[in-house]
Amino acid sequence: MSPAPLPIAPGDALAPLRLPVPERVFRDRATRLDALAPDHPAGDWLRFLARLARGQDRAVRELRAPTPPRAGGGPPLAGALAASARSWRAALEVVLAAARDGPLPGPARAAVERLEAAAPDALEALAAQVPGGAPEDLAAAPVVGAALQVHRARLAARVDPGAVSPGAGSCPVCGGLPAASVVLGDARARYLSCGLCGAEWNLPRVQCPVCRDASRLSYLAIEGGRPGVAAETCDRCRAYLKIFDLAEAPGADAIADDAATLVLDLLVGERGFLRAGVNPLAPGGERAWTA
Amino acid sequence: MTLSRRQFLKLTASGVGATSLGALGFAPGRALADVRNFKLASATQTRNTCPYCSVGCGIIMYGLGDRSKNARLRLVHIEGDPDHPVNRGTLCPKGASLLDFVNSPDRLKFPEYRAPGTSQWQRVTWDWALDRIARLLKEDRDKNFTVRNAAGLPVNRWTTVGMLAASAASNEVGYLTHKIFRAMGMTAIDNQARV
Repeated sequence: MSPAPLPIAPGDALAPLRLPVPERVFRDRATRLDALAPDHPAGDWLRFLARLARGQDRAVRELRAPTPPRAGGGPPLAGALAASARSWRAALEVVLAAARDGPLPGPARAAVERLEAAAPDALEALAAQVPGGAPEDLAAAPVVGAALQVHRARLAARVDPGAVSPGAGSCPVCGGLPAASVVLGDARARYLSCGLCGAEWNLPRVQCPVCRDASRLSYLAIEGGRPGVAAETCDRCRAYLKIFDLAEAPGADAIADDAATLVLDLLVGERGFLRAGVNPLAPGGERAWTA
Repeated sequence: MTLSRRQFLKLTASGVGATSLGALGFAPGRALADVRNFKLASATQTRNTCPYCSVGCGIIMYGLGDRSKNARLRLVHIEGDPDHPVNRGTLCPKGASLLDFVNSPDRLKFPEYRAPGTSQWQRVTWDWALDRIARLLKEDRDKNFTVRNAAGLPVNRWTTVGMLAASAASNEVGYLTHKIFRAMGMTAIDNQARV
């Protein structure tokens, strides 16, 4: 009789890639955002984002899955946006309906109405600004970003992991930028979480995801704040990406928890570090360039 | 996508209007009043190799304190390095208790000397300790070095002193250890010493 396999994750070889499960990711994110909202100084905003996430979940369940783009060079989904524009706009309609389904401050309501009246060309122009992280219309961008996430996550879910090359600074599945790092609670490995398609790719711990330097990193956290949340800052390239440790912050979600820790961004920004993470649901900040 | 020169985002407390929270009208003032009340704490994570056995497991050491200010870090946690090919995040019970070893009040941090026949340890300098070790090694080697064995064959060996090297030594340190002590004729070298 052979012994039962031990249920230990440490020691197992690390999966280089974790593809998103669209049927779960948006529903879990909505639950997480709702759980973060009470007692949070920006609770109403987080509840609004939870509504967007529920709209994303509904879009996944109600709409037909988009057709994958033809494979070219580079990440399998590079250019996925242009290839099937109609599909993400169908998701946008569902997310917009969800955004309306609750209280909205004036500027948010105006943004929803702007999007409902926008011509396809105008929507494509808005969508083109989302991946870079500094869209001009900051009120409309979260809703557009939510629709793009639905579109890309459903395409990413059907990618053959064997056809994806190892990722580093940008998503190996769709070419998007990471929203944050997540350290798994059991295996303790770090995965970068794509802000757009939700794929997660392994990158060794304790190295800057932007410049790969390992010698000048600091982990800045709010004194007395929630455990398991830090900004991994690099003194070499002066950039940072947030990192969520699931052992200390169980249930954390790169997109939801990034939004809920905006104050950390402001404090780290005051120290002169530039944000490398792109969160389509919570865009913000001025464009800045570095070498 | 080329990342040679990529765009970043600059967020500051004064630029709060440039967030979607502000643009959507969700009372950013209240949300961000927090900024003045909070301070940042700095921590570090550093890779190292477990000092115990020759398996050489990778570890990640968590320190509290600001590295940029050259402050003395306080070590608060040590865990297996998940990216290390040898142990992939695991540690044995000895390795898993490294934190207590590092922070132990009884940890040896400088050379100490106990003279023959006494029970007292006294702190000495590295110079004094190394000079004394070199002196004793030379005296012993001068006395016991064997040029030829009983049959008259040249052996050039020194069997009365042995060398305990560290199991966590790198390839290069291991090479130098052997190079130096073999040249003196030493035969008993253990590079697998469990310390």
